[in-house]
Amino acid sequence: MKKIILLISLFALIISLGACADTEQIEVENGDDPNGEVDNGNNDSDHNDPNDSVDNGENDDTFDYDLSRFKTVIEYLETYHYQGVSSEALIEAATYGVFDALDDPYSAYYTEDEVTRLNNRMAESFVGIGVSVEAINNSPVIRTVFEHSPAERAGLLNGDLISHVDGEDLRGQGMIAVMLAIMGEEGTDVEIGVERPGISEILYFTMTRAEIDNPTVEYDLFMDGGKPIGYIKINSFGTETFTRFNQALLTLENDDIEGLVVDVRNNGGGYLNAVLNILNLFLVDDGNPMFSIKAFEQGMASEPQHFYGSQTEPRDYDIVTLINDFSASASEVFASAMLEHGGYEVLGIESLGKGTMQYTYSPDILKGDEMRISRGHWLTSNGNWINQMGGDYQGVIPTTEVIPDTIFTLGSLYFEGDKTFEYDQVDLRIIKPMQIMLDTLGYGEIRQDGYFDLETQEALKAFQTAHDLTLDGTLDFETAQALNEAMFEYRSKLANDRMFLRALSVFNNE
Amino acid sequence: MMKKLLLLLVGMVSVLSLMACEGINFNIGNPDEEEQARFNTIMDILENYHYSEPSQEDLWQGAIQGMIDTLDDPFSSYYTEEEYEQFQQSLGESFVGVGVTVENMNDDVVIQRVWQDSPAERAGLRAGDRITYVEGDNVEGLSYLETLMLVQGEEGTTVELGIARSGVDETLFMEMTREEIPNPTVTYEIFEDGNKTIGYISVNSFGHETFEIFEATLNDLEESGIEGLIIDLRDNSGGRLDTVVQMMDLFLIESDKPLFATETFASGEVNRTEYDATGDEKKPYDIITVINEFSASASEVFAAAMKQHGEYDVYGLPSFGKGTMQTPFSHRNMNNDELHLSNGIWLTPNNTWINNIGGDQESLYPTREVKRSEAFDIQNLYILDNPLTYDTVDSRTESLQKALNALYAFDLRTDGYFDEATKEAVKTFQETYDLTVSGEVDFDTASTLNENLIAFRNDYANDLKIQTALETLND
Repeated sequence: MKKIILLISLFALIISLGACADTEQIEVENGDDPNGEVDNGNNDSDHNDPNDSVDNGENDDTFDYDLSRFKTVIEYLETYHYQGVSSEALIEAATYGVFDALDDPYSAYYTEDEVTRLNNRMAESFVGIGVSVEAINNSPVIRTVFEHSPAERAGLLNGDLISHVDGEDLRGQGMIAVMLAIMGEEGTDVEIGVERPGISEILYFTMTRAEIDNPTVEYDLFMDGGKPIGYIKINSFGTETFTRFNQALLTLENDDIEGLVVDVRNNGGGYLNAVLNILNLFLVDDGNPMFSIKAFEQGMASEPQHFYGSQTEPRDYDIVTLINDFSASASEVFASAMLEHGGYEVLGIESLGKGTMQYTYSPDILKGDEMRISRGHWLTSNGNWINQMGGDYQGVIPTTEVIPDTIFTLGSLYFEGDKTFEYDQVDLRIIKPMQIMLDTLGYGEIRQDGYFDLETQEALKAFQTAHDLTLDGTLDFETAQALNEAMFEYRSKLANDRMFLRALSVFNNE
Repeated sequence: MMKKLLLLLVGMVSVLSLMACEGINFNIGNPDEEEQARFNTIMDILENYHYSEPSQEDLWQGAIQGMIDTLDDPFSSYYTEEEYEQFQQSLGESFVGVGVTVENMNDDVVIQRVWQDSPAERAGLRAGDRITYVEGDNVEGLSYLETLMLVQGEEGTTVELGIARSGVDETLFMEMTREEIPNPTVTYEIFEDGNKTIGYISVNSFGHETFEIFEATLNDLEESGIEGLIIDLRDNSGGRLDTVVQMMDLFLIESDKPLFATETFASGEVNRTEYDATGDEKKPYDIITVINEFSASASEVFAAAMKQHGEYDVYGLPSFGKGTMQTPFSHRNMNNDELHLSNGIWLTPNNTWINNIGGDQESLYPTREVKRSEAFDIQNLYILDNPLTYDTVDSRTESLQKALNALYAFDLRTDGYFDEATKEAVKTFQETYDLTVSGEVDFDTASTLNENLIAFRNDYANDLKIQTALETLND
């Protein structure tokens, strides 16, 4: 029980940050400490065992009062409540209540069972069934079924709403409950029940969890009028991310790139070490920190620990970073350092604003359960704390704001399979996004307010003709599926990405 | 003339209060020593290391709240001394507020009822609205009581509420001035238009003085020679058990069935008590009780007894379904805090448990179901800057279309698309009320329509439940 602090991470649950398109991987650190030296610098070794301090009578009357009050309430509830609730259940609920009282979404208590299931490294692959899901009304709806994945072989489809896992009805319990239930050990079976549009009963599929490829780094070489431009997308800052990033950069530099776009949009963060090493590829040692961190104990912050650049010269090409409102934590460390320390451009929209760092505690008495506690802050190069709540700034503010096309913010069209939408109907949830898709995809300049007029009908017919669908000018489920696919294909092309195009214009202005 | 009674009832779904059990003694055994040590460890680590430097008090409070939350019982709550003082202050003879009754839905404050002629009604609040902002601050993370405290304030001061309303995408902001809200628990009417003289008594809640007023009102009506009686318990969310027992005794006579029974729980033991009627003479006239989906608790006790014990008619909509009873617990360990805890249930004369979670029946079902006119569910129109115009889509246009249909017998589409027919109907409306005939809905047109909607709702002639009951009683 002496060992209290096991690790530091910027990150608790990626799932709590991204609203759409999370894979079933929930990325958390496990075991290794990316920043051991911070621990040592923080007097943690001096810290008494929390139980000792209780026994030592360190606590005052308030504590006694609160404890006896707590026990009285348990006793009353257990004795008199008509539902006959057990004290075990009450104490478990009390634990969660304590964390709720912190009003901090990144501090959490995980049972041993959850820890086991969460125990996935932020690696280049993860064990799962191979789907990415998006939250529609907080229900997980499958957006992509990965190629050659267990989910594809079993027959899960885009648009399926995951309702049951291993026989348990999880409807109404939210994304995370479903994700946690799906996760498990490689080679074990899981039965998934889905609601599929057009089919009234739940469909069940059994599949075996397998290693799913999940690259944290993707890159591309883009020729802009003969000018080679490098593009590297970082999906999260995992254990192998730095190595992969470095390889990608070397490859691109071999092609003599004249500009580099680093895309950390929708990147919920990750290890401090990963972002530190990547920043070190670009930023020079000029006496200013790239960023700093500090930890708290009994409300007192430690002296900040500074991290300095290590290059002697900056790269000979310009670098633009792309962020959006789902860029969080380590992504914000990266973007703010590139901006404030390197003086590089950051394009996009203001980031999410997560300036806290979580430490994990699992003393023996928790018997395998784990607490994650927001204990530290990270500060930008200029010493600012960026945090949604109470920070100096609420997010990293881009040097130039670029709002994405509306189509990049839409969810899939998803409705009961026997429903259709046609001329003269009004629907804000389906017809309005359908109009935005049709307009953006070039099937007609039409109204986008949710009223299905004749022009909308013509545009829909043009889409149906182009995709060999029943030509009736009516939106049925088949047409909706085709529209969803067309939308995802459109979004996947760099040439349609307004933020990327804006980055190119930065290079061209030089 | 009726005495005016101002009573409590603010922002709370009322409880069926029983006796307070002061200082019940038991051995506070250790829930489990190891559990306790585990808990202490968690508290200690959080207190020491969380960056926000949380206080022990807040953490323990969170622990208690967590236990209450896990009960799946919206009627059990823990009030700190401070919260309880605020709560008591709101129980005066009249109250200062915006004029809403609210309920606790998973710590969200949801409006259950908007009082007539209140600041809230004038501002446009509606039942079912969820309060998400107070004075520009998001309150979704706050507890039910914390939010209520922000809404409360001194007479004459203003408060801006942000509202999430189903069917409306954006938050609606409304400003209102807090004022003294009179709160008569009993109001009455005499209807003499039909063949018979019919008495009508509406009971808003079962308060301390409700029985006296009710009895006096009933005597007045009987002296006027009523030949039928309507007892209106719509929107009545309950109150004191002794009050409802006294009221039932006015109408119900001794029989082999109880008026109702209670079962209270202690250490796994169930203690059953039956309450019998003591009256000896049935009223010479017929009685119809009117309920709706917001009639809860003591209202349901009354209506169930009238239906199952007295075999009287009950008209309206299935009731709320609250079959639990709360007892306030206090203890020296809790200083002056109070735990309101559901320690029992009540059962109807036929021994049915009516409760919307896990009951034998979800609601008390009326003997005759009568819905309300659609006009009662139409939202007021808020037009600030841009008028509603032809060939646009807007959720407010939906309300506009429904209002025009209900009040003036148009047959417009009601999906929010402002079509040609809607435009013509608006023009007709504008002509009727001497407004600028534009076919567009601006502030003036919307205000006039709102006034007509409110007048329509306040007219007994449009109250389908009362009209149906009158028809029956006049027969």
